[in-house]
Amino acid sequence: MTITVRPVPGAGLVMRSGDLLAVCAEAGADAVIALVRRVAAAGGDGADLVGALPADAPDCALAGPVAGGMAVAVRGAAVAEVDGWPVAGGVHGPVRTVHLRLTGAGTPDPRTSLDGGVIAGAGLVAEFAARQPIVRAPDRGAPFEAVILLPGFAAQPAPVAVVPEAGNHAMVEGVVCRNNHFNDPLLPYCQICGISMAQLTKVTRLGPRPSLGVLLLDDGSTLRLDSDYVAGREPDQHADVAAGRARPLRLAGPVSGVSRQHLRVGLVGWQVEVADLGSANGTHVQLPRAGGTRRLTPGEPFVLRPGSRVELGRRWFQYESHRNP
Amino acid sequence: MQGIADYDFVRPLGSGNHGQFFLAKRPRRLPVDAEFVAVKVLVAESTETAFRRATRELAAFAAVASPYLVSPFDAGQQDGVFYYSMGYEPGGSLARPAEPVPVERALRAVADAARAAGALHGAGIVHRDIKPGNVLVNAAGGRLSDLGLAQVFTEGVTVTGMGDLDAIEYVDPELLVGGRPGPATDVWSLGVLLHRMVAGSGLYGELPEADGLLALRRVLSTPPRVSAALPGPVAELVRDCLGPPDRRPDAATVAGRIDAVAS
Repeated sequence: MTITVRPVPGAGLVMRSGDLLAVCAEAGADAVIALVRRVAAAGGDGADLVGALPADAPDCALAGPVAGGMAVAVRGAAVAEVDGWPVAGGVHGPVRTVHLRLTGAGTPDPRTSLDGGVIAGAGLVAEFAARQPIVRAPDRGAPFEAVILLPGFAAQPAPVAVVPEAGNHAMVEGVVCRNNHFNDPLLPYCQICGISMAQLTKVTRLGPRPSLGVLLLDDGSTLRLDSDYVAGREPDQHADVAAGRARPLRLAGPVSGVSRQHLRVGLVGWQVEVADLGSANGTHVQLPRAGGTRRLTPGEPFVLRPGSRVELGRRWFQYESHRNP
Repeated sequence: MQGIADYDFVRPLGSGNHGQFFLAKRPRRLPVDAEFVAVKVLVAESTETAFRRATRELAAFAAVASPYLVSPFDAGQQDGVFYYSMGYEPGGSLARPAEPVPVERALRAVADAARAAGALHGAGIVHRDIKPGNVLVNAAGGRLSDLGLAQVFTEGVTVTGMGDLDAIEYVDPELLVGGRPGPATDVWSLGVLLHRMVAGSGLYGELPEADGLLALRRVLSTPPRVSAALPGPVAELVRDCLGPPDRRPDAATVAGRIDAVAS
């Protein structure tokens, strides 16, 4: 992995050893520096680094890549941000930037870079080159099955090739704009064509609910919100998925902190709700432009606004819609 | 990675939207006349349901007889990893051609991709993933490859993460806000592809690389703008492809109109 690290001026120490990154306050810096050196010398990754940091360490922030994500630890008044989001622990999925800083950190000079070693500074900004998808190499001793697809070999498929997907095609009350798009009656503008609906006499009618937007996942994929979802490591086991009332949203990953059945995303009227399914690590929601996150009460539905970010362990997704402000 | 099932890999060929391509020796059991084949290994974990659905969709794709499609030969799974093999085109794709592709050749390749899309649509199949990386170039023109299978592995998915985030530039924004794919959304992608090949730029300016959220927001908030550098008939065709879904030309018409421009 290619990383560019820029130090941030200020009081403290900045350290890089290979892919392992650390910033720490002067007091107690020796122990942190020794720790990074020790883990790097042993060929450890971000998880080894973070795992070796004592809970009572002085003000410091550490980060390092792990398979499928980034391990991060912060202590005291230090701050870590991954792709612009403050984090307290690791994150799953591709990472573009990591920003570690102590209080009083300035801004990095774009001409600087740190290839390795320890220097004075109050923080660092690390940029990771775009990551390629990682395919898992199979155990080649394992049995395999193969189907020859050439015409004349494969059993010919049924004429209708497009497989219908599970969906939640409820009827909802809505209004139509002048271009005949069906909308949430509360919206001032059509969510399809953007035309103002303020002049329309808002006579609602019942119609099939259009998609309410998309869920954008931490790995960059987007999922259509025309169905309920159950998110987790093994969502297929959930009764709603088995019954076709919800789609499975598999969130796997090493040390992801995601429960087997973690969260249910439900479409209710024109709104998107999430409810924690009694997960081990809980679900946190960050509303747009609202400081801090709130932890969901298991079983209690919570209405998402467009732009809300939902965190399940180390994975996250965001609700995006035309109704974004 | 050395291989999968009875395919021995020769070298990696690059990454696709949700997997990796390898050049492999043809296994003896495969009844095709070629020394080498291309194998795509998918990132997504294969499950029984996904394997059956993927194989069914690929078989339907393979059954569409068109010289402009790269047909899959064989699909399988080993140790929870899904793969499929297809013909190897040494010329590379419009995204990464083996040698520079002049505009006239790129136009021929896009026209052939449109013919391929037309053949798929005629069989009731939507490609879902038309973009430069999936149009392979050869001496005669081009061939459309790699049916988008993402929705088989993750139901409801419209854009897959990991890898070519430029794919978002080719997706009908209607899909990004939850619309359903159909022949018209493939025609949108053909329009963007044509624009990119002739003007050398996209409809939204340069999208932020490797940042899915920013790229998505940009596509949703920026009205597509057709470059002034496009010759009149090309600009008109691109605009028609981006028009209201029910008024877009069908893929075969797009092919014919590109032929008319190119000749």
